Amino acid sequence: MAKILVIGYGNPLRGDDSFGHRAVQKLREYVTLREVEFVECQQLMPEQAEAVSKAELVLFVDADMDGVAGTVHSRRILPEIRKSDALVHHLDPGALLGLSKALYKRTPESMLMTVTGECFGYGAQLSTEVAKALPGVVQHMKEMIMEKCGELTHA
Amino acid sequence: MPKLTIEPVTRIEGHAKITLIQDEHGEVSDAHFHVTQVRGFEKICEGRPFTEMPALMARICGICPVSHLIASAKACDALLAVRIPEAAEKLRRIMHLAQFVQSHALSFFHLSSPDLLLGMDADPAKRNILGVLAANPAMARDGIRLRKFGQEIIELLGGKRIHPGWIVPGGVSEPLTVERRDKILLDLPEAKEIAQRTLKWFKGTMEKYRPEIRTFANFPSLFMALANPQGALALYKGWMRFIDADGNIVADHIDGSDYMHYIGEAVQPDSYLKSTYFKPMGYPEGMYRVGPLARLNMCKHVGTPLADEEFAEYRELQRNTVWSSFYYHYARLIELLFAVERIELLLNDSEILSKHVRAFAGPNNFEGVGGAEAPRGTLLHHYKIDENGLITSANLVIATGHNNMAINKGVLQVAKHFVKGTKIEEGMLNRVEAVVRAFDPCLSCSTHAAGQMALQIELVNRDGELIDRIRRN
Repeated sequence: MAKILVIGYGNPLRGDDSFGHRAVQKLREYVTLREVEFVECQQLMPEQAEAVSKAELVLFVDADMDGVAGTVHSRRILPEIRKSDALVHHLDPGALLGLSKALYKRTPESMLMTVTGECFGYGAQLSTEVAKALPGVVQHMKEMIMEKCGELTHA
Repeated sequence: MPKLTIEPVTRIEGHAKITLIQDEHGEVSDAHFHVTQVRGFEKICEGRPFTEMPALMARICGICPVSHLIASAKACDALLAVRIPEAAEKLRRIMHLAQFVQSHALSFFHLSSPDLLLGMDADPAKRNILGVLAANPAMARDGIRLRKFGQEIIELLGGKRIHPGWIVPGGVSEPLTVERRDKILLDLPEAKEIAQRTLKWFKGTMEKYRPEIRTFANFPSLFMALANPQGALALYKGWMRFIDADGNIVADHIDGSDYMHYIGEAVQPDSYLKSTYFKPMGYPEGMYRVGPLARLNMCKHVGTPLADEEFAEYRELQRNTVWSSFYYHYARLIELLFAVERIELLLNDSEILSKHVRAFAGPNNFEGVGGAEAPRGTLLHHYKIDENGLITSANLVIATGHNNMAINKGVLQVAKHFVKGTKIEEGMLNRVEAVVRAFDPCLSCSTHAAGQMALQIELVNRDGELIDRIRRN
């Protein structure tokens, strides 16, 4: 069965920036397959390249700032090579895939799902529009996992 | 007077620039390392409850938050006047050592290996971690694995990799579980192998860097580090000791609470980084160095089998004490190996799974000082509180500040050797940066400033006239 890595990232104490964490936490309630690994983190880091390289599908979930609050974007991610300075502290999904490719010669299929946030101030709550988008993003990820694995939980 | 400015200094933690002054013959006569950022944590924490200090102070740095946690928690232990449970001390030590692993791996593999693997004169477009990746992918993977090993220990103990809040006044907040201990032990052999093979590689490459070894802050100075009764490497606990360039003890058994009698802090008009000095000798004669080089100069043995073998070979470099700051890299790698070995010993300690990991008390003292060795050198947190436990004053003495005068002198030494005439070559620029990198300065820690470092070198003549400038963003 395919190995799937789900990475939700952002600052959990900065309102809508916690969206990635919330999506992963919700998805865990539905998906119990051993082949699906969940990661919640503040930011993407070079050390995650190895885990990425071992997956067949990587789903990144984040909040963004482009467009109308609550808008969901989903796009395929391709590996990118960046200047070295960008590799020291944190990465974006493309750079992390680029590192996986360069270090381990593997580039898994990868999708980035983001929701446009409107409130990134202190707090652990999602704003209304972003909270409304959460079920749709979780459903979309469930469908992608179903497509790869054929199930969400072990029978 | 020609002045040359390098800005920003790259591949270090923080923002800085370097100014070189030339005389009428085109020879470098003076050099200044300026730190251009300020953060002000000492001020921010005034009025806050002392119990918040460890979690707040950990925010000073994303690379060495654990050092700040430990120094801060120890200062708070002193305010509480408690002796923390033995298991708590051992658990704190494990997290502290894990941070040494990840921080030293960052310094060596991510920041300095491009110079060491590709050469100081390599094309700057390739002289970076991607260049390392292309030239030696196994080394790049090793760097990432080792850093991951350290960070995962921090996460397993503290709940997260960066800014964990697990170290608290009186001990730690949770005991270690069998599962977490075994998970760390599982990855340990690989970490040890990586540390050993990196040391072997470094020793094999040193011959290529004879000019840099001769000129990278290679001068006599005092050294300061923690010391312990065993004469072993003291990272978590010990008293402060100063030795001279020949290894003679000049001040010993200095308790953290007495630091102000031995350490003075000078302020430069052109830098936010304080320059600390050995007070009995005054400023600037009291220049001293801290960090891996100073620590290995201080100890008689490191304290673990493999690291001790490496240490014996290392001490053959120079009689009594090692002077060249190029060897900070070498010392760093030995400490890295020590840290991995010591983590293994502590994890196998019979008490490590004890549930008694925290002592509770109210504030019993109005003043407390906590200290530990951070990856870059000795770190001190000094707090004063009022009768309600609110901070009335805080002073942080940070490793990079201890090294500031030596960094300046090292930049001057390198510039005198490599900078000739009024035109700056890339290789020269990089060597000036590389001597700064050897100290692994953390400017975010030492000035309480945020962001990444940018560097500018200015070449100025005796009349202050700008001759050339290189700026890097």
